[in-house]
Amino acid sequence: MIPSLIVMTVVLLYPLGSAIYFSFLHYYLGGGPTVFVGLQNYTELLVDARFWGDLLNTVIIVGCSVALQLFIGLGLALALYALHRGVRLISLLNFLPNVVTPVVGAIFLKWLFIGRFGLLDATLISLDVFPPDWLGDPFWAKFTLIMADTWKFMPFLMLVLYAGLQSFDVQLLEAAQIDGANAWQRLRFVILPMMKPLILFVVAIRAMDAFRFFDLVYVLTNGGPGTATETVTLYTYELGFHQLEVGKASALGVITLLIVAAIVGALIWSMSRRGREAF
Amino acid sequence: MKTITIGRRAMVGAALATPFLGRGTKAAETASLISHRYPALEYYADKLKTAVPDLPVEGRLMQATEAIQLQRLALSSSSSQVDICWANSLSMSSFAKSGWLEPLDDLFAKHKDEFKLGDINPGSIAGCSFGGHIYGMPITTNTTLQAYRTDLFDDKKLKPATTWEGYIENAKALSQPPRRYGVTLALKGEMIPNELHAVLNTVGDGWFDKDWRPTFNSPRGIEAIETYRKLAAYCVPGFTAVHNDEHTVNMGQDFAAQGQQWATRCASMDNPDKSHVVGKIAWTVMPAGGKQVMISDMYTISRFSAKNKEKLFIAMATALNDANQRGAAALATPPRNAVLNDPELVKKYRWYPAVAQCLAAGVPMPQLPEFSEVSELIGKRMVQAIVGQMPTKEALDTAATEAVAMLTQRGYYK
Repeated sequence: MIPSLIVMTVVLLYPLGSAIYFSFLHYYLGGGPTVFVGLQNYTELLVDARFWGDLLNTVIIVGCSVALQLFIGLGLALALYALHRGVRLISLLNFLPNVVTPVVGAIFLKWLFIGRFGLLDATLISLDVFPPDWLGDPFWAKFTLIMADTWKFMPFLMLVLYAGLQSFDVQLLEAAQIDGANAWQRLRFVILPMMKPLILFVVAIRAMDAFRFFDLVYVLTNGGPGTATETVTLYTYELGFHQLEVGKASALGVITLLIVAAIVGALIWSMSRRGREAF
Repeated sequence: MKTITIGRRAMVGAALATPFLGRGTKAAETASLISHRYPALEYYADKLKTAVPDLPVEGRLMQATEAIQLQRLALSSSSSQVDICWANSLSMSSFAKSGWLEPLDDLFAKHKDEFKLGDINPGSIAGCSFGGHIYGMPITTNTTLQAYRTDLFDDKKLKPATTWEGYIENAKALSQPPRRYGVTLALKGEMIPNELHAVLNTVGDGWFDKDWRPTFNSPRGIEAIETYRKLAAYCVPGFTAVHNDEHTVNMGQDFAAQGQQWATRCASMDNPDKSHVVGKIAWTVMPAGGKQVMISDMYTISRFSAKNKEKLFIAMATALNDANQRGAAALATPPRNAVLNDPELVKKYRWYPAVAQCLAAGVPMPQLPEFSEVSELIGKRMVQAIVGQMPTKEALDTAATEAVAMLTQRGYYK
């Protein structure tokens, strides 16, 4: 108990406490006095149009990418479940993007999507197809980031959902089949209701993780063009490391923590409510 | 009982020291360098390693943004784990204002004859100075040139542009998307002010007035950004996500007909291992008389270094001596007059005359220690205008409001 408490204090509580403490200070890394300013950092951020724009970007990118990951991940998990051979090999190959270090994956994707000489553009141009500006157009840059995040993290959802399917009671499916349910009806009325808690769990985990979306966006677009793909975490980084406003960056970190906690709390509440309904 | 306090400084120091751990007793005697990375800096970092036999220098080279961040973290926490910092004019003035760098005036005077420091171009020394003190040993004074494809220009009977209208016209005439584009631009991160400096100084009214009030949003400033908005129509795609490396690839791989190129990248154009257009690129001053970015790269000494600072200075002066600068002449414009004006080198590196011409036409970035912070805000808004995310006037006015708010917080306009 005590060793784990010490570890938690050092790696979790101390940094969290420091961030909360700094968020109440005017703390400029470039010099000058550090003074207590109360809630000023928070109020300034809440009236900052860039913060709200970044929050909207984050919600769009996270919402679309997690939905896409769930859709594809569930589809692939069901396909794997139906397979009798080669499951291990296919799931291993599918999982590879998730194993790659995020920054390395992002650099690889950059050389894929970069304008004119990127692999994708070069291939399309050789086929006489005029490619869009994947990283330079506000719409396509968002689209590319959603695709990149899906490529990187969908395998995690696929694997968890596949593991869930493995523990599934096959007798229920057989009973539905005997009752005349077709494949779609078995999915809609048997598999999905049984998997709901697991789906909510992986969505909560992924949403929490995706909200801290940084590596891919930093390498691929750096929030650009302009602020079209700037996320809340990237803005936190800009405040802390470019504008050197440690106090304000800490306040934004705390706000992000509260937002993520609210999302995850809502999902857990939804799970427990559905759990009660089930009984 | 003695109390041991682990503060932020110790934590940052320990984090920075981590890469140097596990190297036995040697680590204690080794000086450390944090530097940006491009071929010339890789060359000089290598020379620094053995410049002083009893003070080897271990270098950590990375992208400029990361290098400056790491330096800032170390210096702001008074860490002694970093001894030599690569800096450019902007980061140097910011660090010097904060009192984090060692003034080098006395060491320059003491070793002037030994290392022939009087041969260094006074302009380069000025670029390494802040508040009347020298803080850096100049590595190079870098500037941008108008690079253009002579074969394509000759085919269409075009001349390199002397006006911005002409620059746009040339881009339009030579644009054949998706095969080749009329121009290449780089508008990611800290490349934004570098790319836009020339147009803001020639079409616009520059960045700030003498009291640091914004001038970039004046009617002429709006016209300057509109010029780039028009130019962007003929540009290689993805220009808001590219840096110098990709920009160089665009020119060297025949994807762009013209562009604003750093002097340190000219050599790549004539390197058959890297370029498909060897001998087909020529250089001249940017349109409307240049006034393009000019920035000094230098080595500085941390005020918090625990090493012998004179030895560190000698290591820097040795690494940047006449012989080594001749060795790096293809990679960077040498700040020593004897090297820069050597007729043999001028003959060998055909871009030297254009570089000399551009250095004479260049204008340094505003000498505002907070420029890199404030230009991050301004640059994002300018790109929003260029890609059509926001009307130009609205974007520049928003940037001006944000810049004034930041500079007010930093103690300006009192």
